[in-house]
Amino acid sequence: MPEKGQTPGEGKTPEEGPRKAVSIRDILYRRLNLYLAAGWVLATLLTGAAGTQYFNEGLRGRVIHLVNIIMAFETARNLDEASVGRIDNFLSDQMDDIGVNDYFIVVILDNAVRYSTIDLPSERLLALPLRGEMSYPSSFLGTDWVIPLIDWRLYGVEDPSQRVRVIVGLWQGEVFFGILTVTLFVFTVGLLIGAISLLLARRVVGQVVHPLEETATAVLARKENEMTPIRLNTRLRELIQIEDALNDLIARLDATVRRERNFIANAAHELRTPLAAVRAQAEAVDLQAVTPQIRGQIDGMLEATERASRLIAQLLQLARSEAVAADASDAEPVDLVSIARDVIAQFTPEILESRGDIELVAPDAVTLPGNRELIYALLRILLENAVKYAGSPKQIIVTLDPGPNNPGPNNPGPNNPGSTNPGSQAGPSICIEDNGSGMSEADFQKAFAKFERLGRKSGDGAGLGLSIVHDIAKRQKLRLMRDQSPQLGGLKVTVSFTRSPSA
Amino acid sequence: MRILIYEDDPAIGDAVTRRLQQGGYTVDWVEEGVALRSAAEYDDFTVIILDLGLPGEDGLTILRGLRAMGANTPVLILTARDSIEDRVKGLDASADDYLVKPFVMDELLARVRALARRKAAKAQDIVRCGDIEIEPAGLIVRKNGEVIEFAPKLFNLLLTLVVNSGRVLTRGELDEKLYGWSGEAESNTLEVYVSQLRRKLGADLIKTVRGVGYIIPRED
Repeated sequence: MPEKGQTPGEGKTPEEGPRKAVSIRDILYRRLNLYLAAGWVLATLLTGAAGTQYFNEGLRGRVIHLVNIIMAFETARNLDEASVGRIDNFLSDQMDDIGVNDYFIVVILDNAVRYSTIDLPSERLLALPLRGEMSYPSSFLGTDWVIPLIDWRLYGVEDPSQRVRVIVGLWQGEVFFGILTVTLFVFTVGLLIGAISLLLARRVVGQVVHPLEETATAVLARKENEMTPIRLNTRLRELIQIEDALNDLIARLDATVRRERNFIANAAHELRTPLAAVRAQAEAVDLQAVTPQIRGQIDGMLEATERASRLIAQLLQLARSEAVAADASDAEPVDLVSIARDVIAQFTPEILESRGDIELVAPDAVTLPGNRELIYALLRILLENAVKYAGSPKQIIVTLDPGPNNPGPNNPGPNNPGSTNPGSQAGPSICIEDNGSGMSEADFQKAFAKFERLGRKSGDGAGLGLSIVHDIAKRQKLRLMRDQSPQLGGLKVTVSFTRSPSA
Repeated sequence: MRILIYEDDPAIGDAVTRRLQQGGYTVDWVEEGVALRSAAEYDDFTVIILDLGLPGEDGLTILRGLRAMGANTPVLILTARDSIEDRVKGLDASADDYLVKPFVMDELLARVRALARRKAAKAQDIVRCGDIEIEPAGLIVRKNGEVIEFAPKLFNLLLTLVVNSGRVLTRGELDEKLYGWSGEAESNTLEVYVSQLRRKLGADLIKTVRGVGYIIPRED
């Protein structure tokens, strides 16, 4: 079944490109803008339409009533009186500013103009039809502007028995500009209210979206191995639900990771005893009593168990370093010198047996906050590598530089010309040099990948060592550098510790 | 010299027993059904090798019980657990040494020898190292049969190094052993003492691991 093995990456459809993300803020703003603008335009149009209708009806009704009243009045009154031609000056003054110019009244009696409020020659007035339209330039709202094109509509009645005709002309501009005024008012008020609504909406949207953005920031800011619950500073129920869901996920992830780590650790432990049994049995064989061929086979077995036990130790170390790093607050003051001495002491008998030499160059103590177990493991692996790959006889030098902020007896601190920058974050560093054949930068980088061989061609490394070192360095914020040893000619690995300002 | 082994894995127990027997030791191998013996019985053994992963009975419990009875026999713990925490737990229960499985047989033998020397030193027996013989009871050191006088501090330093031969004693460890926790000693006192030892016993006996400490290399 060749199709069976599907890599996890194939779960995604291949054409699925990067998602085009849309912001909630943008959607809310855009929609709110659109809806408010549409509402505003619609309100203006409806108000305009309704206003036109109402205004028009009202005005026409008023005019018609007026015509009928005058008619009744003219018909009933004494025909000899000639007092109607004049309008009371006071009244006409009162009407100037409100624009009586928007309508006129003409009363014709016995085919003579008896009363007119419009400045037209008598012939034209007498020729006015009872209904229809008339062109006459009108000024606008008492100004000198003349509005052409807008006609006057005529409304007239006639009483043939009394020979009275009353004609009222209504300026169509009054309707038009009245409606225009109302509509402009609605438009302006709508605009103002709309703008205020939009500003308020922005605030509301911001109040909703801001906690969401804060949530994203809080989640993003987490360290990769931090498995503590997320605490969002919010009272929004929806966000608290998201917080709960995230924490549930984190808890499950944490459990999975722990289970996996424990599994690796337990498996490694369980493997140790049978491996020890194989090894012990192989070593208990009386080499004098067996043929050289069997002796060679026993050597092969021992070599294999050695490799297996190194791999197990490294797997355990990896699981442990991940476990330690998962518990974030694990920094305690540790003395690098005493750790270095302990680690070197372990390898010294082996080095001395090969007539080699190892040396530690360090002040009496260099203390900094860190995790003792991880730093110990890191130095142990680096030294193990150095011992393994050193030349013959093995020569190794470990140098501990206290750094500019930690003057030791070998480094008098502020008076030391090297420490020109006392405020810098540069901390102590440890160099491990050997007299082996060295390692190229490419191999050094490659060795950081899990289960990659160390690049040197010895073959008995389990390959996890430098990747664990890399892992620990990342977690403890250390810097690793590769170089050629100027003194011994082999590999020189430098581990630089950063010192937090409070330390 | 008698060795007591608590080990439930037959292959390991068998192999260790055979190698120790080849090395001239008398071996009692207990596979299971661990019952505490009397202190006097324990004291008959030179070294006890204790597997921590015993079924049913926790090795550390045996160790504590044995110490509670007042048995001083050196105990070497064999275990698959190697974290610092596990080591500290073992040493807190007053184990004398700690070896992680899978181990190299020669390493086990060397540590057993070192523990045997320690027992001899405690029991005021004669401790040997190459051509040197030390009588802890009388503060006497002989080189090739010839008695050499030492001040008590120097004698203690020599005895510590001899008892731990094959192992580097870091400056921290030596300071702690010779001066206790106070650490008042001048930083070069140790160098002065070691150079005095070398003057009387020969320059080759104690090897300096520069920056780290001192070691008397394994004699074999």
